[in-house]
Amino acid sequence: MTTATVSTHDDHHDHGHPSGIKRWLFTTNHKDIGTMYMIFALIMFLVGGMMIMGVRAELFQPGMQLMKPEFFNQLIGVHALIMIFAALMPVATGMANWLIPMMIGAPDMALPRLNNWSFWLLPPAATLLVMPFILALFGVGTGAVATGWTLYAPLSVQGGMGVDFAIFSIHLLGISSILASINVVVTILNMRAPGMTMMKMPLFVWAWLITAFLLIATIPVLAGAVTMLLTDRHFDTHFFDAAGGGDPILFQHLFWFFGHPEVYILLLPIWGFMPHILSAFARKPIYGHKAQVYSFWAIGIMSVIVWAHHFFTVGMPIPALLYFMYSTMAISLPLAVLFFCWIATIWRGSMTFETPMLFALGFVILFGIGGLTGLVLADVAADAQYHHSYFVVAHFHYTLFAGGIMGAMAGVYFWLPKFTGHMYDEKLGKTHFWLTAISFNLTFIPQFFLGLAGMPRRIPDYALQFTEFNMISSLGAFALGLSQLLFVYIIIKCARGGEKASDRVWEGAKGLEFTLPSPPPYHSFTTQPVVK
Amino acid sequence: MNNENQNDEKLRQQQANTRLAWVLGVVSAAVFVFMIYYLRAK
Repeated sequence: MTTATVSTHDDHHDHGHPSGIKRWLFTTNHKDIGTMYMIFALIMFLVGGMMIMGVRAELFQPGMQLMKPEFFNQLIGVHALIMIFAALMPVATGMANWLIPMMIGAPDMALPRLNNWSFWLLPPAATLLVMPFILALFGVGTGAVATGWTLYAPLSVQGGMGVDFAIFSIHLLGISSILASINVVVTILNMRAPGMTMMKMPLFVWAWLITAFLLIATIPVLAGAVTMLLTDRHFDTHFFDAAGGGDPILFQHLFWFFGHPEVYILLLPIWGFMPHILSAFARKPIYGHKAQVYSFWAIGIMSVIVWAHHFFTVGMPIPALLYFMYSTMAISLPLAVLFFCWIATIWRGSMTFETPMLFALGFVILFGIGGLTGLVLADVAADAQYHHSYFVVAHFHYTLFAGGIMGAMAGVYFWLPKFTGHMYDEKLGKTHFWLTAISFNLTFIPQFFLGLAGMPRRIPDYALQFTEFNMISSLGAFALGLSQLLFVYIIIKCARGGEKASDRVWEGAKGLEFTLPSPPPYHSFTTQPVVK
Repeated sequence: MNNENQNDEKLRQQQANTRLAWVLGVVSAAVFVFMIYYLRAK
């Protein structure tokens, strides 16, 4: 699949691209834009992380110590919005920008100017999200959005101006995502190298194609829902106002029609990393390439028909509950196919455990726990007990931190030497993995028990019986937060220098991107490779 | 001559890219408009 004839005779034929700040402001180069996406994601990851440190500090012991409940609610809501829209989605888009053209043998993304605009919409959107915190310091408004990231009506209809800032921020983030997705779809469908049929495409590219279709289909629904929220707040409509003939539950349906596919939007690109990494470090071909493609499709399609499992307790008819329960459980089938393919890929392989492999294996195990606890929540009867408890918080952090962030870290470590031309510090990388894995479990295992014991989420104070587990969880969270500073140091150190990376980087690495020099030339493939 | 052919091919590719981008953009905008229009009287 990856046998290719590559010509890079004009490696540095870059049309005299500008330097300094202009290079970054006006760039249409997929690698520059990918780098900006990832730096942005890393900064916002730290910002969102600092917010949740405040939350965990407040929850260290019962009673109110550090902040007012309103501020606590704001920190939780903005933490989630930042981590989802400004950290996880941008890191996946950054990797897509870097990797998709190199993996399919294209010189760049199909629509480079649109690409620039997609990125530059993000900083203003993030500013809008955080600005109400700063305005409140000067006595303007009551702070940021305090409804949680779900923005449920009627609370969001009645909330302060932080909700308006969040609505406009979501509009900008949505436009950015749709434009980036259009770019990805067009690039993949129109710019593949000769001989690269759809079924020969690398799995990361396949995962992103489905992610992009999901984004194009579902982001407009979220945009519509928050627009309706905006008109309910300021233009006397009553979409979600029961007194005016509207229905607040309608908002939940609209939000989760977007929100559930969003989970897979966050995770599909990460699942796309896994076969590449596991196969490289097991020194074996990817097991079940086609099966994984079909599983991606199955999960993508099923993700838009299961949304109401997020609010089983709202009072739905029994047939609806049964439908959403069974359809949700059915998603575990294609997901199990993926897991078995990943395990079969490393089965009896000549494995070595460099940092990307450690993160990938950590991902498989911990995301597995996230998936299995999701099955518990998919059960209507069990969910009546666990809904809105810390069990849910622990579950979705196993999927989105262990699955999303740790998976993304596996990808970053795997391709970083290709991007920078230098090997990262392996010893520090491994230290980062173990610190992250241990402190992550220290943070979230106690939260499963807190949830089972009945502690509700999004509450700044709690009963005395929950004290010990909360203390352990907070200590784990502080350690988890601090260990990410090591990640920042490793990346900066790698970008600045270090041992020279070879073109192939890893002994078992396969793919068109590894036929290019490390770092790759400004335009990836000026002469298209031929895939045999 | 070879250069001209390459430029033609490049232009054709760019036009195809732009066409597909517009189709996807219109689909996305249509979902947004249809949803609000459909739900306005519910």
